Amino acid sequence: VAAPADPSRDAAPLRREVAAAFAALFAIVAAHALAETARDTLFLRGLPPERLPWAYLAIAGLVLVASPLVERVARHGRAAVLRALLVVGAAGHLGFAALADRADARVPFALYVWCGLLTTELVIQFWVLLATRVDVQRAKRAFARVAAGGVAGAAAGAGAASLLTLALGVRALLVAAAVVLAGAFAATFALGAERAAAPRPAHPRAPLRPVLRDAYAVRVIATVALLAAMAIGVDYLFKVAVAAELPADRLDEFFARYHTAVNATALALQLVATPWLLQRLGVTRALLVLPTFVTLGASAVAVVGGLLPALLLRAIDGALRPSLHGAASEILYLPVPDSQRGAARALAASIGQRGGQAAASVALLVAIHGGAGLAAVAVGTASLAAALVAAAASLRARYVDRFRSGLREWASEAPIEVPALDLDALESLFAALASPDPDEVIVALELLAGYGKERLIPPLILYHPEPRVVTRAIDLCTARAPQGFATLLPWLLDHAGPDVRAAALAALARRGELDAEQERRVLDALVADGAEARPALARAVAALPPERSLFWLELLAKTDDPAVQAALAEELARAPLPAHVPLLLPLLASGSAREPARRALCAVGSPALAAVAEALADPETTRSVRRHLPRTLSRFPCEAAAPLLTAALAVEKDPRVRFKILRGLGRLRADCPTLALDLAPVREVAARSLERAIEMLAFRIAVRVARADTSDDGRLLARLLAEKEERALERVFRALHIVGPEIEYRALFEAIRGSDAHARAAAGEVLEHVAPEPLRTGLLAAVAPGAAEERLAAALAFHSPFGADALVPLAKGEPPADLTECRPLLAALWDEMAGDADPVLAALAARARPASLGGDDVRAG
Amino acid sequence: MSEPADAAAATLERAVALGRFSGLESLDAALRTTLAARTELRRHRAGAPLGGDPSRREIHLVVEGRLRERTRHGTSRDVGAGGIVGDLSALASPAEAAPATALADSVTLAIGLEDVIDLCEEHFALLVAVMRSVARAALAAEAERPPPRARRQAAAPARERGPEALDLAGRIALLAANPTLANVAVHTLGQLAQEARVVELARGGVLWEEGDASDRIVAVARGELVDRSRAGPRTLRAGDLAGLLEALAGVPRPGRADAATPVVALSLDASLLVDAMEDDVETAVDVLAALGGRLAGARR
Repeated sequence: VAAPADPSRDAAPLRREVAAAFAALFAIVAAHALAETARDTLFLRGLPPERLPWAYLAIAGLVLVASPLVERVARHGRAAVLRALLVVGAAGHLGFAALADRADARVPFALYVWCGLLTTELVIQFWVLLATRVDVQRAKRAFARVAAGGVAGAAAGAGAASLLTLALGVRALLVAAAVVLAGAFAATFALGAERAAAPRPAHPRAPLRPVLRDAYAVRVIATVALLAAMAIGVDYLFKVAVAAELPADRLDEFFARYHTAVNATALALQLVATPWLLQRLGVTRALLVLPTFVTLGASAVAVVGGLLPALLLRAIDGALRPSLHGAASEILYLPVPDSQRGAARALAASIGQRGGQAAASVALLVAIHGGAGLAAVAVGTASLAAALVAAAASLRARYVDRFRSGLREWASEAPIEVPALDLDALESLFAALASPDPDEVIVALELLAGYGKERLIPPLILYHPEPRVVTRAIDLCTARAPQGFATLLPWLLDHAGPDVRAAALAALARRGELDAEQERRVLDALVADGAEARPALARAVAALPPERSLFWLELLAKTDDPAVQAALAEELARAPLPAHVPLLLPLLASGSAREPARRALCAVGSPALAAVAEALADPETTRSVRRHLPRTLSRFPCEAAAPLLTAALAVEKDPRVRFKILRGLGRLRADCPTLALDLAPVREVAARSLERAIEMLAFRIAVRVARADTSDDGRLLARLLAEKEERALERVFRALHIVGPEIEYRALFEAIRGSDAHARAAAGEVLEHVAPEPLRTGLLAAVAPGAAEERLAAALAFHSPFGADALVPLAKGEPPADLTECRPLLAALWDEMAGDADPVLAALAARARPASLGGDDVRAG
Repeated sequence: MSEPADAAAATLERAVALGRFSGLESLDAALRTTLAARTELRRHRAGAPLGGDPSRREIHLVVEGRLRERTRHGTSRDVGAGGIVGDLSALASPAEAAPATALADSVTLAIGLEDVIDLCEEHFALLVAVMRSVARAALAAEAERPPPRARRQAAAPARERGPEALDLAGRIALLAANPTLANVAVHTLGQLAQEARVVELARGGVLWEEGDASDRIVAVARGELVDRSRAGPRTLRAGDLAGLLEALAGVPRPGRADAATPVVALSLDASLLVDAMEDDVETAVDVLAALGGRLAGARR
């Protein structure tokens, strides 16, 4: 369903872009790691750690000024701006390398601020550029791999810093950083073209306003602010502890080795755990991991104190922030429209990150001047981390809603559009009544009746030369007759057209104005008119009181003539009675009579409801009637029909009728969203249907592995299995929609089976967050893009169909040329298929069984 | 037809005008106005092309005047009031959408094909009405022209099957071999096949007479069946379907069908096909597209 026909589609360009992005980020972060070691060493050698908050504050202030400017320019060409920043960065590093040996305290301070400012702008522009190229589902995998580039760059940069520091000293680190930035510059040229962006806003001077009005974006910015403030606390605790415990001449070596160790850990985490954790936890749950650990770590610093807890705390932050948290944070921006994403990031970087840093810096300065100790700072840091946990948790619903609202728009219904009836419209309809075309006159009559304006229909319409017009006018006006209408009806009993005579008789009978002589005369004439007048006879009889008509009606109901059945049902629907229910139920089997028969049953009310439910439960009811009973039940009032349908769902054996019950319940749910339902049978259907979808997937793979899909019969079987998989999934989504209509599972399913890659990706994202346990794993696997065997392997945690464990390794790669080893497995799977409860699957499986598998080879016969 | 300035009145006038088009008469008032609201009144001067947005595939319901439609196969046909230019043959292939020119001053109701499909997917009653309209047009087109002399060469002839080969799988394979049902879901074909019955006719045996109710569709499995509903008799062989158009058009049998040789066939309840389409709108749209292709073929 969800898997594209060719899973390798788009894979090659994506791989190229990921490789280029990996290389660019690797170089940017490696350069930062080199410069960072020089920066920290020079700062703590030349200045006391209490000056750090001032540096943080300066970075925050400068980024606040620089980011909007960079963003404004970047909208005209993001790649060009990133390249320009890389050139300026390399030049800046070389400049500081020249000044590194000066005994001027302003140099280490300026270097500290410069490194912070440059890396911030580079990283922002890099991720925004990347986000213009991939959708959310691809992003989830691609971003994790690209983020690994950053972590690998940090590890490599820190490792190189260790070697360079020992061999050449701190100044060489800055020169090396400049060289590595030049490498990043080269890598950006392999990033490819940007996706077509959404149209620019009408007021380019105020692109930030829509973002600030967007509750979701504001929350994302708030989490960024909390994260930045938390990171300041962590960094300060770490550096104060290091400055206090280590001599100044060992700082360069310590920082180089510590950063190498932390970044290597981050790299290992990134490579091994981040993609897996992102897929397993989802974006918003993954965002909880870092702040939870920081809460615990900062609490340990507050309680225990000393170097070791501070080192551990910084290690947690250093390992998780660029890897798992970084990748998850980037995905948070994807629900923001393309046109606002850059502005949102700019605001997150300025108000969020720099605002958070500034606030934390000011708070630190106040705390330091107020004499607060490290324990107090640690408590504050732990509190910020806890607040971040709460903020990230609160993002979940909005993150999902954002995707969902887009899907709702994508899968919008085509609603009924009936204009209001004003004077001009009424004049149009009256003009149409005088049309020479009888079809137009009939439509005008129906439209007037549709608006409840039957009383405005001129009685003279009964003199119309076309019998169809007269019949329709009588039908529409019987209940709410215009003045003078009734006086013309007796005259029509002798009309040349049998339909007109029957309609007039029915109208008079309903009005209680029909005498016995008129009744006998008209019925005799209709009988004499023969088979062609049988529908007219049916409707005339159906209008008579039950005591005079039931005998006739029972006779007529047995006819196979669709016209008679339709006439009968139409007439019974005009004045339905409980006595008509046994006649109406068999009429449900007739396509022409079904709709009016349903209307009649609904109009009868409770006795009909009970009869329909009884017929559904009765195994003796014919299949042609049974399959139409669920939808008939769903036409009754929700509260009465719902328990009957859910009860039927629990016991129904016929899958086709079960599907119709689900549809019926879906209709009730749509009509009455707050309806209380017994959801246990519905959930059961969802679970069983998902299992069925996975079984069909396994069978489909078996057909491919056995190379049976090369014959006509095998192709038919493969088609059937794919359809059955899709229908089983449709049942899952229908059932889930009944359980939780607010989730909009209908729109999710439409998007997942549709061809719009963005909608499909967004639907997958929503599903990841809303799919209920224990279905979640199976459902995500069933709808995931990718190869069938990969989906089956992922689905096994939910349901492991017969032979699937052994089938998955066989299915990876090309099907084996020699089936000797897997013949027993494939033969057993074929036996399963051929023994399936669905006779269609069983028959096609038996017919398509490859001769090499032995057993029943129907084709041989 | 003059379109009033008032939007509601204009919509209702267009809804009334839709009553002229065969197949749409069964629509209730709400659906009719819904369809009308999606149409646009267009006036065309004699000799002028229909115009409109070339990127939007449209059909034109002719309210007044006369238009000439050309197909890419070089043929043309004139369409008067009550006819449809473009029909839904464009459903089968966008390339079938043909340029048209007004022969006289004309008025049409234009509607985008995508709008029609959207509405059909949401409102099954409209889909049935559209299908009925296309089936009737195809019936009329086929009735006017004699059948092709030679059997189509492009498709491989279907394998003949005797009653013994018409087990469930054989029935499904027989139905799947027909171009109109080729894209219908296999499980739907399976449901139809399960409830189908095998019919055997001796040479000269009558399958149905003109005027009989069109409640069944027959798939020929072996032998030759002669359909006499056209200008000339048409011989149906293994894999061909008889009676589909009139069953979907909701009209009685337009002609007799009898056996030229001993015939084995599968008889399907037409209402089951409609019922299956209600459960699976994609099947319905596939059948509609196949009908559109048949209509286009009949007009070539």
